[in-house]
Amino acid sequence: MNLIGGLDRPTSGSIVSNGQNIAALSSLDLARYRRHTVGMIFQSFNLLTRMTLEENVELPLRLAEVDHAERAGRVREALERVRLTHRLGHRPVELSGGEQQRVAIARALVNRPKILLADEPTGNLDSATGDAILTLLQEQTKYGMTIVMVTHERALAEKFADRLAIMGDGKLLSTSAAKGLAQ
Amino acid sequence: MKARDLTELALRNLREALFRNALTTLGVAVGVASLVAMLSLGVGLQELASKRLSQSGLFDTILVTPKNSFRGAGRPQREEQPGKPVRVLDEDARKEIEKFPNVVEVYPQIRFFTEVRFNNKPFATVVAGMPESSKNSGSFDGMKGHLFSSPAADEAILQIEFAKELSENTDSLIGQDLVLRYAERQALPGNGASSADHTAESSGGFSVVPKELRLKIIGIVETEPAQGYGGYGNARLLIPLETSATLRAAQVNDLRDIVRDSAANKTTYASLSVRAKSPSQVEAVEASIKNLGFNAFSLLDASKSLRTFFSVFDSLLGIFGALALAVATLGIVNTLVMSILERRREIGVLKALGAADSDVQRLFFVEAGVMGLLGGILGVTFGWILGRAVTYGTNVYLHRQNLNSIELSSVPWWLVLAALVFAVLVSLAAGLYPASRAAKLNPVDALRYD
Repeated sequence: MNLIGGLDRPTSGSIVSNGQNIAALSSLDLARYRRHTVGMIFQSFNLLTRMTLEENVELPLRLAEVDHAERAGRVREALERVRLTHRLGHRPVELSGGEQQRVAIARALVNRPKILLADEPTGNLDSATGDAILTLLQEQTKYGMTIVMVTHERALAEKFADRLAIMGDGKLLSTSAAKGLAQ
Repeated sequence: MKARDLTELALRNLREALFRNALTTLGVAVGVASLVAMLSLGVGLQELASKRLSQSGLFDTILVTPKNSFRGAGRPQREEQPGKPVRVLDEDARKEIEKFPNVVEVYPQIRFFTEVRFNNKPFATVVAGMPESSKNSGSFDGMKGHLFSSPAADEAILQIEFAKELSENTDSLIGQDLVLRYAERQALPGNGASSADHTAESSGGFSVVPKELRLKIIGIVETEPAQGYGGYGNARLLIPLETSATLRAAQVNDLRDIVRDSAANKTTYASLSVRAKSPSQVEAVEASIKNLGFNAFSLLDASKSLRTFFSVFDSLLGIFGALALAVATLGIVNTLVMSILERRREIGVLKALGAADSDVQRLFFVEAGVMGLLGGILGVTFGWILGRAVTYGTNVYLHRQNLNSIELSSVPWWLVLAALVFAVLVSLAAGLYPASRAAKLNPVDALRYD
């Protein structure tokens, strides 16, 4: 996930994402790729605790140098998609785990990325909340976005994914449609 | 990232660890304050010295003498241009010099020996004529009594040591009269001497007649006023220049005038004091006077030495002040390095969201710069207050000693700006290492950090 997200570099080979080999990108271009092409959500949410929800979601817009005038609308739109507009001024510690993950999703969506990378997004949540989060993620695909999710919960993967890739001991074991895997 | 966003984020970060950042900023402020206070004292002392010296006329006055003045017994007259007559320092020359650009005034130096009679007792001393301009020159700072009521008043100001000779209670002298006994020159009849001229005598000679003048004591001056280096340092009884001129008292140079083969029946002077607008004009005026064929002397070189001395003095004060600022920069480095450790995960998140290395680096730079700027502003304020406090304390002491108050410290605009720029630059330099360290953090490692 770190390699696809442009956070790390492969020691050999290439990674083709959105039509470009990101292994060959310069440090600055890799930062641009992270800013505009991918959005990331993590198991531990990684929200900045001293910022409000609004400020957390606005952060990628600051990095992408989006106009000030446009920002408030974009933040509100992202939070609407995760149904959290009523808690704009709250800080992450005032929210439940599920709500924090929804904020993290809003933050990942705000720059309208083509690929959303979710690294164990339900790992810190109970099963009902995890289900709700994945339902929310599934809704985002209607905006034409590819979601790549890593999970240890096979049942969840089979329930929500269109395609599955199985990895074991650092190796890709198989790829198939979810239905095929179930069989 | 845009500058506005960088600044907003930096200010937000600084607010989060308010106490620690405030202490670091205070450290910078103390450093800048010590620098500003030291330099303000240096600048203040320099301004004070320059003002006093400029008022004294030491550096804006040129002493002009004719080239044929006595050069000592047994030494021959110097002939710079053989065959060409030596120019006489007369009224024409005085008027000519007065017309030079940047010349404020030209006046003759009149000083003569006299006997003063006070309470029927004789006292020997030297009398000097004070030009009108000396009123504003600071020569009479701290005097008792008042200044001459008019340029030709029959009034006298005594130097304190002379006043003590006249009476033990010097204050009681003010308002009393004294009699000045002097030798008046009178032209010999039949030589065509101009009686209208104050100091003129014919080349044929003059007679000396004892005369008396009653003067009212109007003031007592503590220190000997110095009006130029050819001035009145040794004179203990000061009268207005015009009054001294009307006396036509015999002076030291009169003997020279009588034996000299002077063709003109004109006013001649032993020396003239020429005041330039400012010390910087002295060199040009001096050159013009020399071109006229006179000797000209000034203390310009001494003024240059003074400036050199103060440059070195200010540098030393600056170095001592900067030491405190150097210690403060270590505080900035420490605060920012601690901040990196605490915000490691945040840096990882910023990078995951698309921050480039340069964005992270600039964020830390701005934080260092903001601490430097705030510390600089506080420091300049503290430094100014410290300077005022030192001035106030000094003036309280001076008042107790019955001395005039002085402006010991000075914070000119250039010092304020230089201190602010210096504080920011030093803080940015202190932020170099932490910023570069933060920028190089691997985002994957940073995100794993707890």
